[in-house]
Amino acid sequence: MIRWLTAAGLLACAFPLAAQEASLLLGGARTRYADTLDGSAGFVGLRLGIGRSAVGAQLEAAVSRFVGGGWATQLSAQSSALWPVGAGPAMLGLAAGATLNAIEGGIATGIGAVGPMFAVRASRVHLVAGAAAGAYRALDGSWSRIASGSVRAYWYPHPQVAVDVSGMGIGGDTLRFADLGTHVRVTGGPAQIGLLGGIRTGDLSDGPWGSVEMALVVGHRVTIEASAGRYPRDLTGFTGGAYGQVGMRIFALRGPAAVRVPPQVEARRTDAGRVRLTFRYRAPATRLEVAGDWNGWTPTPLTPEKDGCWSVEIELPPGAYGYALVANGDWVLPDGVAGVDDGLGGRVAMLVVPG
Amino acid sequence: MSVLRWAVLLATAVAVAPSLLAQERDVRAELAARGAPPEFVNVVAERIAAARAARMPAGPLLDKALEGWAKHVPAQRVALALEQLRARLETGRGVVVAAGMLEPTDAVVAGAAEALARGLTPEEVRELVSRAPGPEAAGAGLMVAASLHAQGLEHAASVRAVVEAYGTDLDPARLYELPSVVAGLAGQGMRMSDLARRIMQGGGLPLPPMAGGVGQSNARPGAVPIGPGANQGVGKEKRRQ
Repeated sequence: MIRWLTAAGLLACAFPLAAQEASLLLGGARTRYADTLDGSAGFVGLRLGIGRSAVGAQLEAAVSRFVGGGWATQLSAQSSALWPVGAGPAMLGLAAGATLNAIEGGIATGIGAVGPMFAVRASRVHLVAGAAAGAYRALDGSWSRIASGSVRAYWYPHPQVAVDVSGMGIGGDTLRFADLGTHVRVTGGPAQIGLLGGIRTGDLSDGPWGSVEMALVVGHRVTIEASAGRYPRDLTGFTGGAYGQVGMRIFALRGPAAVRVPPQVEARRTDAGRVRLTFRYRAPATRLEVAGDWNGWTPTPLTPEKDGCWSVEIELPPGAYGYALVANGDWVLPDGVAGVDDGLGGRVAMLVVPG
Repeated sequence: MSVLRWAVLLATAVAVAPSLLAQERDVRAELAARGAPPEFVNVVAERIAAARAARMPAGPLLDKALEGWAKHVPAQRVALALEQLRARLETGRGVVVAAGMLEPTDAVVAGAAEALARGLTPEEVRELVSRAPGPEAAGAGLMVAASLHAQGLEHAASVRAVVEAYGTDLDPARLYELPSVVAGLAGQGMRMSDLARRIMQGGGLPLPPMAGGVGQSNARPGAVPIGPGANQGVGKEKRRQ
């Protein structure tokens, strides 16, 4: 059955050849795993991903080797496909997922499920509801059937902030439980911080759990990732516990989106109907200025900061403005910005100030 | 021509001339304040005066002249750029008028010129103007559609996204948030071609790939690298990088 589960997981994510993202994660962790492995471990992880308008899929695999001996592997495959219903914002689709854990000593657990999903978009809020049926293999080797229903709401209050709240109920042959959870992600400059938290009730009631995760772009194809927190016990028989990990992710196919980090612009509305912008940009320059339609193309110096970034505050009314940077006296386009023809033989970037 | 008509014309000229002269002085003053030589100032001032006479907005022309001067572009090259920009403004104004806005504001004309410069068709500009709930929305919508296209979104999808936003009764200034939304989605891994297809299918901005399912039950970190976040759900939303 485990083989079937693995095959189903791989089939659900039959995309390795078409993967848009492939990355390798190398690192170390301190955790307790499967109640038989406890302590520090080194790990190698692989992630493949696809994200298209109708289909999203992700495959993650990892192998951990504990300092005190013993190894563990895990595989997680998730995919979904959505199609519009008529001309409105509603979509119908199908989702499938599987996880597999195998540990030295022949211990293996797995969960697999597939089911329909419904999604609808309203402004900055996305609502997704789904149901699924499947089976799982517990630590003791027994198999059980399960069915679930879930609702998740995504909220994007700001281009750099994403919040989702979810609720889910699961019923199986031998147990029933429900989860309430939330996930907040904030992206700023080359860093992203995520906060996860939730509570599990019912037969697996284990109090609240939560974790914090961080990713920092440090190179063209490299990010540093770290996370720590507490997790609850699960339906396959694993107990809850705490963990901490840090690793370096190396991108093979596509670097992190922040590799060519465009200027980060934070906007705050003022009382006068204008917008105060904090313009930050990482550049290896000794002198950096910004000029655009708003200041008659007179270069305004940016102030260097300790982390290699430069920043300046600008106050503007909402609108679209052409601009360019002057690095060490040379007019340049910022990295990661699609410039437009300036009509003068060069290119300029566009700064759009939200209302 | 009657004496009365002459009197009206004279009064109008007296009333308008100072402001025109003031605007002309502003152009010269702004360029001179930046150290532009008289010949450069004259080249620019003549073209801006001609544009004003043709009821074209002077702001974009002056911005372009200042940009050219700041970048040390030769005066003749700047003059050519101003001619090209003025031609686009005239075309843009014509398209806007044809769309039914007989007295377009400077912002609408400038927006139409920008949209045409970025590759939008006259028909698309007409649609953005005719479907806008007002002149302010039209000006913003044209600029936003141009910006979305500059970000890499197909022009038809850029227009569709703006037109859909018109229908949500947004404050026109909030239209300027659309490029940030698109940039945010691109930052999450969404490709522009997929985003465009999604918008053209009528779904507007796309939903993240996710679903509900049993896999959400496993919130433990597993073999650690995947972490609790990855175990949050079947088809969990793709993590931003």
